[in-house]
Amino acid sequence: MNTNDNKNDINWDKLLDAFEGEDSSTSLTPEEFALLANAKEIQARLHTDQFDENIGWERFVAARDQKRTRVFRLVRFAAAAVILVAVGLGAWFSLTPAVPSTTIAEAGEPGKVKFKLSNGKVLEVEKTTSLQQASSGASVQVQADKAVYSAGDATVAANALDTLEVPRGMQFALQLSDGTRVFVNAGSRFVFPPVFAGATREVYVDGEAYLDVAANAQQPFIVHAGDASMKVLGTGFNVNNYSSNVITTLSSGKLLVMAANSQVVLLPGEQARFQKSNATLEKTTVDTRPFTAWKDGDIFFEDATLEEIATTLSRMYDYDVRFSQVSLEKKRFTIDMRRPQYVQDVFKQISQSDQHVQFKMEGRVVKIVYQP
Amino acid sequence: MIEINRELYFLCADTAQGTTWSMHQPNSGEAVSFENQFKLHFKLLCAVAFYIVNDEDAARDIVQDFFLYCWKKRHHIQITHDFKRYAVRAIRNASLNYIKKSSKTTLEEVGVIEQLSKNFPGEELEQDDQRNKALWEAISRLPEQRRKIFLLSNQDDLKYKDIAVKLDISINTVKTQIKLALLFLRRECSWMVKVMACLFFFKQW
Repeated sequence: MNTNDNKNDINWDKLLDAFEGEDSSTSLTPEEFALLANAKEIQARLHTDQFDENIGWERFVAARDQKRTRVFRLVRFAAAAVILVAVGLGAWFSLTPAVPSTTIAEAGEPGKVKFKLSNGKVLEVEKTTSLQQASSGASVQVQADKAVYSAGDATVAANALDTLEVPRGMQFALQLSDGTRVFVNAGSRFVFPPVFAGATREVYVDGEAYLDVAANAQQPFIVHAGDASMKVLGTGFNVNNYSSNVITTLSSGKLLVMAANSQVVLLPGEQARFQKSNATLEKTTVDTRPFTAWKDGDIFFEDATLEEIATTLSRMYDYDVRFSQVSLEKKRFTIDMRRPQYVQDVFKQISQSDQHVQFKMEGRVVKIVYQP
Repeated sequence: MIEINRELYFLCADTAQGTTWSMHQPNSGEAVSFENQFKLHFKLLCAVAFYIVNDEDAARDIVQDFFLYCWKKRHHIQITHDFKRYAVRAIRNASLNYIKKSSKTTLEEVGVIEQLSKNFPGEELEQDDQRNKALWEAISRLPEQRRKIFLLSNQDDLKYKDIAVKLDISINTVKTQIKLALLFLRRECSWMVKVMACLFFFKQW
């Protein structure tokens, strides 16, 4: 196809790419811009009939008449390979800085993400950090909020372990030397070998993590979380052990969960709950999104109590929450939104849907008060 | 999350107590129910959102959230303006906010889309239905293969390369056919030339 239209000097290749959504940022001449506007208008008009007003109205009525609050849905969750597990009450308390900050910081000035390498070295990661580091046979590339491990060819100490600590208010993405990707949530610790040398690949989660495990049948992947461990039979999963109970949720792949001498196999959409108090391991079917939305940068609660919501938000934004009335703790909300920069934007949505609930910020403490 | 400019408090009037909410058409002054208002504007508003977000489901969500907002505010809202015009603007802003927050779109792209979005649906909102009709009529006059390729790209949202595979033709043929269809449709749909004139004006600023 001839790239340039002789008459008008229109670069059709560029234009058609922009139209297909490849990259509309490339500079366009006024003629090209006008043509793109025309093309987009035609496309939008041709879609008009896809939007049926009667179906739209039914959907609207259903949403309107829902008693509980709905706080908008933005991004569809594309299920990858996901499991989620929860363990270990107090796991994240131990990671919280001992001295509470007294500054009234809008965005929060959380602690730093730390790597404790097997060779004893400690790396503190900041927004501006960009470095390369060696750790027991692996090389680590650290960049702001993510790190990539790659295996070197040096001989490896089989029992070397690195530790990643993510404080409250932060999240961190990690790629292990086998290609497995791990998203570590706020107030969590993740322990892993820089290079997987043994017969199995074994890692430890204290808090919450999402794992997308690189397939390797010869070297099974095992995650230890509190009193439970999981063996990855398929592709991936997400682990959370914030409380002493372990909740493992699988959104794709296949997973074997072991705890207290019992074991269950999870298929996508299934969840295993290990109850520490009576040492039981139970399997249920769940909607996975509430458990995995965090790693996509979403905040998602389905008919959750304000207490649950406050606990999660306090960890995510590093605030402490106090309720002025116990009855407020049991109010229920459904929230689905992109994670905003400031926690106040979440509070605003909650107050808007129930004007009796108001949030008062005092330094790093949020008071939830009842407004008659 | 839909974001509506709170300064723009000129929506629609609540004339009845309780659940029925009457709004008034700008020209005739005729009262319409909330349901009628919703159904009257739903298609256009979804198309406005789709123009920007390029995702049918997201477009529907944005429009629904806007109407939920209107419903919630129905007791506080005064009619001082044309609802359709207000709705188009609110949907446009909400859609731009949506893509700004989406990691898929760079800020430069958002800027370009924001500029582009000012041209749709254009100022003459009342002519919108005729324009859709005129467009379909013009499409029916395209040669068959060209029409097929154009609709696969524009209505079924297939990528050029997928159309090429589907029809067993080269990707360059696909692109050429789409280019020819676009040029033809632009010529046939006279209001689009006006878009161009407006743009030139705009660019000079």
